[in-house]
Amino acid sequence: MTRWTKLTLLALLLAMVLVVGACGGATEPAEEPEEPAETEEPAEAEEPAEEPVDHEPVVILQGVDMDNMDPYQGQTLSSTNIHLHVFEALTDRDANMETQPMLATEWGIVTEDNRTWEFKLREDVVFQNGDPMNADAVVFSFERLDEMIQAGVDADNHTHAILDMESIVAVDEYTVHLTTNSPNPVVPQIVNSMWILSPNVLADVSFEDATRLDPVGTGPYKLVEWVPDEYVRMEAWEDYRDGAPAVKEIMWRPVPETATRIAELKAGGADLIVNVPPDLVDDVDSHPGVEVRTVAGGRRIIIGIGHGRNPRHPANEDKRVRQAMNYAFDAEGMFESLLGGLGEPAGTIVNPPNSNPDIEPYPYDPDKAAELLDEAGWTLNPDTGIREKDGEKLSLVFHTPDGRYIQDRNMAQVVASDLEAVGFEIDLQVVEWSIFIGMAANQGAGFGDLHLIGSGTSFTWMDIAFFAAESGSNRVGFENERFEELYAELSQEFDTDRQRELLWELEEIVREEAPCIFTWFQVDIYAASDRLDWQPRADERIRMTEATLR
Amino acid sequence: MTNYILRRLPQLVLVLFGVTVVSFGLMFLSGDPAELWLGPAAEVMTADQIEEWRENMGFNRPWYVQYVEYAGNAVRGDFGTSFRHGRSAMSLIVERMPATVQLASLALLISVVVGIPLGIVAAVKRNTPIDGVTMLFALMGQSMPSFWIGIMLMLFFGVQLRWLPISGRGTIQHLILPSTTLAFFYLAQNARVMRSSMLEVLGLDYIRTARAKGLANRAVIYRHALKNALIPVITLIGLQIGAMLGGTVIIETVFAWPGVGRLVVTSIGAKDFPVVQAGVVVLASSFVIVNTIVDLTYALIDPRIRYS
Repeated sequence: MTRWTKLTLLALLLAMVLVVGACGGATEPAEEPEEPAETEEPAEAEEPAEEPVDHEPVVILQGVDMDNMDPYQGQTLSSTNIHLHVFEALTDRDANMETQPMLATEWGIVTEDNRTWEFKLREDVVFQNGDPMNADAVVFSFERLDEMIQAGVDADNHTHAILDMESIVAVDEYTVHLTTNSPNPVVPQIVNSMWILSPNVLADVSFEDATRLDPVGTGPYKLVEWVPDEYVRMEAWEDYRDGAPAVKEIMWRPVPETATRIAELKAGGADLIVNVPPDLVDDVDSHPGVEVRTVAGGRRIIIGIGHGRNPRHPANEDKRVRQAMNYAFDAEGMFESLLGGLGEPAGTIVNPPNSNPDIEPYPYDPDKAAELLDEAGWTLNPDTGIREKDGEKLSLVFHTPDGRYIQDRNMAQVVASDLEAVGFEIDLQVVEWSIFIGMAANQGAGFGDLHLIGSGTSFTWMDIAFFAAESGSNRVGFENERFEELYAELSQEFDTDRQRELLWELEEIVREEAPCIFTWFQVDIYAASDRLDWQPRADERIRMTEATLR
Repeated sequence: MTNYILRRLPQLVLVLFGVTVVSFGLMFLSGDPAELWLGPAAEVMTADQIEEWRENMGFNRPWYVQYVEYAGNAVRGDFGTSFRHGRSAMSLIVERMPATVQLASLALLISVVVGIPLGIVAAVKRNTPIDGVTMLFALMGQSMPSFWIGIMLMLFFGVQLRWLPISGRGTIQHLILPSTTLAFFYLAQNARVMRSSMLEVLGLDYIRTARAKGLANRAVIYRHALKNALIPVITLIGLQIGAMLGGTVIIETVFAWPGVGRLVVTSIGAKDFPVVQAGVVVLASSFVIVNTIVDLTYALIDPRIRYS
């Protein structure tokens, strides 16, 4: 190679580096003068993949990184999992999804109009920097979320909307009164994601600066270091009021690719990974030192049957047709063929522990389905194999997303073929997600006769609101007088026993009226190294306070 | 030369303008922002709450007003605040630039240092088993998808042999698998182009003259043939520099490399459009600017280009 070609090559390389560096530097001057990733490189000595795990830290691989340091801004699950080790809330959801005291010791309604809740706070709690946790901190934290929403910051809209707070005041140092705009029985459950922050730390900090400020909470772990898109490192807080947790150090790493997470776990570079695909369960589980752990999650997957005031195919109006669809669906068969046997059939849309234990899923009974369809007047045309009534074919359009929920598209195909087996004709249409959510808007105005959809949960009786007439999630047009009556009573009911009675009756109505084909509560699949003694939770929260090392 | 630069600059501006239009259009094509961003919150919010949110976020204004504001800010490098991260979208991109440049530079170096000699050897040993093996290797490099190569390398060197770390950034070892994977395609491309260009040059009259003068084969190839045979390869490398910056998107995702491409992918998943827009504009601009510089360099080397 001659000298000039060598020089040209070198110059090209140099030019590339300079140009890229310069165009970055010119546009955003001096926000962070040092380029952190590069300068920190020599200092970082940890190489999780280099040596097999035999000691700390516990390395957890999630799909994406923490959004930022402020627990109220950005609300991906990965981020919440990290924040809930540093911050605490007034109440907590335990491993059985029951509400328990956390920073509050007790609570109750104190006004006749049922709008004001009193929370009594623990008196022995301090923040990690020594600041006292008291009523002022609680008031500050709740009001701050309100200010964020007003300022157009993309904060926790979900909690803010359900809480529907009018005001919050400190009555004394350890008592707060929280008033909602209308009576709201789920306040104790909802406040479990209202993280309590220290006003001394954050009162004078802008919302943008808060995204980079080291978090100071009352929780059992302290954040040591965050290198964006590389890792978050945490240490147990030795002065935590209940004693420091068993797992002393946690390293959260974002690894977007499933195959990479699995490879890391197998190579000993990780202790816990999320979202193992069902078809890889056997492969992962058979690897020595690694174990798959599953849990029935809170996400309800249903196939909505458009009917009622949202008319679709006239057959969907008939309860017997809707029930027939449920009898025709072979849930167990689907779990075997698509999900490696994971999963339980569902007969309700309400999550445990609130759901009615007496509700049985519809059994797989194609004969019963055929019987109901005959009874409804949809008789089989032997020439076509499709049922008809008054010359109209039992032909339905079915919309499903692809890749949004576990095996969603394949699941829709199984359901479609089960329905076809009893004489339906199904036109299955796979729809790209951004279009699909457009169809889902305005109570599913864009959906055809059937649609597969999932919905998250707050693990409260509000699961049943899914099919309330005015609810945005009621995309099937379900409207039932008795349901609305009971639901109206439930949403104003503060007595927990009565709440339960009402909820259980509502679930029975939904099962009987069958506004959807009940499929399953999506199973969450994790895999962990043998040394980690940990069980997954239904709410997808990963808590190292619930883990120990073997 | 000045004329040539003056001819190229308007093209550069036009392309960059096109990029801002496309990246802005992305947001409108992808559906109702309220449904996209609010997600489950939209299910529990009342219509009034959603309207108020739109107003706070500025989504209730006509699209052209939003575009003018967007383009005005984009020119200053301000793409707004990331929804997920609550910070300037541009600063997030800039922070991750060094990691991407590091990965792409090393991959480029590998593809040049390995690809060019391979091409030369294949040309010189034409129609021998060495040529066959080299070209088979090159064909494989170009036809196998890079994420697949990446996962295979990861399983072999990371899980089986445990020689190299599987993912993340930190030490020099962390760089090896991702940069090799990224280099694979370009290495193969360089080898193939180098081989055919070399073969063409070796058939030219001046080479026959050089041989007739009694020069050693080595001198003919390295001193006379290579100089001219390299010109198409250099053009190709110029294009590869830009392509690699964009090509890191997949590699960064597979190897959890904390660069720009992976941030853009994650942001698409999270509907964090300010970051997607900033990322697309930065990557596209880098591509265009690097290519312009390469073209200018090329014109400097080869007078035929600047006068044509």
